[in-house]
Amino acid sequence: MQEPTFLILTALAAGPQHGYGVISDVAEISGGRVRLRAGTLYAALDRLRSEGLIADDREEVVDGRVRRYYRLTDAGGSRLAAEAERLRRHAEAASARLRARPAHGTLFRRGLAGGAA
Amino acid sequence: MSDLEERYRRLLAWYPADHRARHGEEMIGVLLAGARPGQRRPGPRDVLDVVRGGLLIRTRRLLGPGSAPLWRDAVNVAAVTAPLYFLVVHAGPAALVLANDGMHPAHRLAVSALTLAPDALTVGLALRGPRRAAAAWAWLWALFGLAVHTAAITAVLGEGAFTAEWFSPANLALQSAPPVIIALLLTFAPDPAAGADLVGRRTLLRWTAAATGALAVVNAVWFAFMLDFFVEQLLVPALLAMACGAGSRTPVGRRALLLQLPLMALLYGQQLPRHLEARGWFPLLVEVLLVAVLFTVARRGFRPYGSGTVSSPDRLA
Repeated sequence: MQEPTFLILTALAAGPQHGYGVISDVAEISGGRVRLRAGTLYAALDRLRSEGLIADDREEVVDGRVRRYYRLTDAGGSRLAAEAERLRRHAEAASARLRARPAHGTLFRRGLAGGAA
Repeated sequence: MSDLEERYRRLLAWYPADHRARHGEEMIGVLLAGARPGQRRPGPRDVLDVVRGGLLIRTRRLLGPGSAPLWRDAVNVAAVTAPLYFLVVHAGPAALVLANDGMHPAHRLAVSALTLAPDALTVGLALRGPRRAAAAWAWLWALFGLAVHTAAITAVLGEGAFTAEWFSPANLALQSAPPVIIALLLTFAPDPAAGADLVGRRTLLRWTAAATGALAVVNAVWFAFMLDFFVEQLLVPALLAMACGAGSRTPVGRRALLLQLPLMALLYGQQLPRHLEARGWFPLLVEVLLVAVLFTVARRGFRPYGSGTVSSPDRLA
C-alpha cells in the first residue's frame, strides 16, 4: 500500500470526513510532510471506493456547495489494520537491529588498532 | 463565479463525465479552499495534479479489473465492424469494374467478385457461421489474399498492371497488415455475432446501406464525368468520422474504436503523404477540420438548439 493511501485510510479511521478534511488530517498525521492535492485525493478516493475500502457516508451543503463525507468500510478497516501491523513489525525489526548495532565507528577504530598491533 | 473557479472547472474536463457530475462541485470546493487569497489562476502544480488525477481515473476505468467484460464486448463489436468497413469501401470499386468497357465481361466479373467476395464471406461467417470458420477464413485471406489478388489482376491486365513499388517488402507488409488485424480480431472475439447484436443489427444495416448508397452515388458521378471532386476524396473519412462519433458514446464503443485504431492509422496514414503531395496542405486542413466537426456532432447528437425544446425543456436539476 502506498503512503498516501495508507494516510487517507488512517484519516478516515477516526470517523467520516469530507475531502478537504482528509487533506488537512493527512497533513497533520504526517507532520506536514505529505500534502495531498485535490487531483491525487479524488483519484485515490475513486480507487478506494471501487475496491470497497471506503464508502460515501453523507452529504452536506455548505456555502451552496455539496460536501460529501467518506467513511471507512469494514473491509477498509481490516486492510488498514493489516497494513499497520505489517509496518509495525518492520519498524520493530529495524529498531531491534539498530539497538544491537555497535556504536558508530567503534568497529572501525578497533580494526585499525588491531592491525597496528 | 470567480476567474479561478472557472479555470478549475475547465480543468475538470479531464475527468470522466460521471465523475465530474458526482464529484465536480466537491473538487471545486477543495481546490478553492486550498487557494491563496486573491489567487486568480491555478498554480502549475495544481494543474498537473488535477490533470494527472483525471488521467489516472480514465486509465483505471479503461484497463482496470472491472473493464474485462467491456473489452470482451468491444472485441466482438470490432470483429464485425472492421470487415464490414472493408466490404462497404470495396463495394464501389467492385461495381465500377463491372462497368469497365475495356475488359472482357468474364474478367470484369472475376475481378469484381475477387474484390468483394472475401470481405462478404468474412462478414457473413462472423455474423452467421461458426466463429472458428470466420477466423480460419480471415487468416487464409490475410496470408494468401494479396498474392491471389496480385496474380488475378496481372492475369487480367498484363504484367504492367503493378509498378515495381507494389512488390517492395514495405508495401507488401503495409497491404497485408489490415487483413491480419481483422484475422486477429476474429481470433480473439469470443462471439462476433453478439457484437452485431450489441450495436444493433438494424443500426448496422442502416449504416451499411446509407454508406454504400452514398459511395455509389459519388463513384457513379465520378465515373460519368471523370471529375476530381473534393467530395469523392472526403466521403469515406466523413462517413468513418460519423460512425466513430456515434460509436464513441458508449464505453464498449470507445474500446472497439481503440481496437480498430491501428487499422484506421494504417489505412489513412499511408494516404496522408499522397494527399499532401497531390492537393497541398490547405484542402487537407479543411478535411481534418470537417472530419473533427462531424465526429463531434455525431458523438454529441445533432442538437443545434441545445438538447431541450420549448415543449420539453432541459431539466434544470
